[in-house]
Amino acid sequence: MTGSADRSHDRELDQERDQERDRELDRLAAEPLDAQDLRALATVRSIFAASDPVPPGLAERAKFAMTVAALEAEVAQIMQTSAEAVGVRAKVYDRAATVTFSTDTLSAMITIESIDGVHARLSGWVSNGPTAVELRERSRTQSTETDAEGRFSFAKVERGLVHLLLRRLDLPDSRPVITPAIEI
Amino acid sequence: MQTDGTTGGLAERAALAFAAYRGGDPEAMSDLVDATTALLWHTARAQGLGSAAAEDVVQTTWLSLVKHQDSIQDPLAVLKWLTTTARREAWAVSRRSRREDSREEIGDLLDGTPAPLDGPEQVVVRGQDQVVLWRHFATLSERCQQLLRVVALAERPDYQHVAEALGMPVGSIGPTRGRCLAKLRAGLTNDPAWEVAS
Repeated sequence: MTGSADRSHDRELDQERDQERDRELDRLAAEPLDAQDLRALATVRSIFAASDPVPPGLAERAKFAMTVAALEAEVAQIMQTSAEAVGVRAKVYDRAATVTFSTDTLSAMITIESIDGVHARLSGWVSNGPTAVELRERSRTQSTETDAEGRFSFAKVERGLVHLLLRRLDLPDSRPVITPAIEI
Repeated sequence: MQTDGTTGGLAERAALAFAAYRGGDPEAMSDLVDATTALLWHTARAQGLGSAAAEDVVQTTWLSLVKHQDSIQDPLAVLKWLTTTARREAWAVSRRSRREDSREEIGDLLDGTPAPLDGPEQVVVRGQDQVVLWRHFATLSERCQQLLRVVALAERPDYQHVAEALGMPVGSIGPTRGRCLAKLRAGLTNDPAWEVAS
């Protein structure tokens, strides 16, 4: 149907079209963003947010790792957790729990008793010498020190995830100890 | 047009949090992590990493910030620093794992561009806009797909910051489309389905 002269003419036309398309793309590329671009980007975002969501807890785990690194802290290992069931009429928040944790330099136990739906009392005991105890809640930090018997307490703690940071006062050069997140 | 990022976007939010953290407010770091972790996650995933490896990259990036925070002179540079670190780390991890997985595929290693793990079939598209957009998005080069996926997470003023951090400068006077977005736009503009959806 088509002769060779026509075919080479077609090729030239194709080339011109490609070049034209390329110039057009350069022109488009140099333009500032407009509403349609933002709509396209928002759609890309919505596709990936649904298809590949950020794993839950990733940010919290990162923060913990950063705290540990910044303080050059030792992470305590949780040895034992127990939730004591209370009476049959108990509501979810009527519970007391004990958590035991330790590292090479210290071991400690804490007890969590609920006060109401949103608050709990946290008391604990550290086995080795005087210790400064910091309670890191989501948006604030409380501190105290152990008494002569190694006991400490925080009268009012908001429910949620907390970390305890312990520094031995008798061994100022020892690394601070941080607990993994404990649910209050 | 502003090019220094002081336009109220993510770069500035990150800068404020970082400056406060360095000024002695440990809680400010929490804002910084909350604000930018999604960006870092998608930066790692766009390089083709699996979930566990991508999580490691995000963690490593943050730990690296703790370690090297003093080397960042201008707090406004922190977002770029984070995305650059995450991209490099993801690239290194992806290269390493490919070497372990397939010692034979030297060609791929030299190519240096890891294939995405998630093919289009694993991507959930719902709704007219998403279906139409995905059709055009899928025809873009892998580099463009990586770039746009991450850039899309940033707010408008950060488009340039993020694109530059990805090693893809997009124009010298303020946020312009760049070629990747221009290609996508050209496709969409010629697609009646996209116009209908607007």
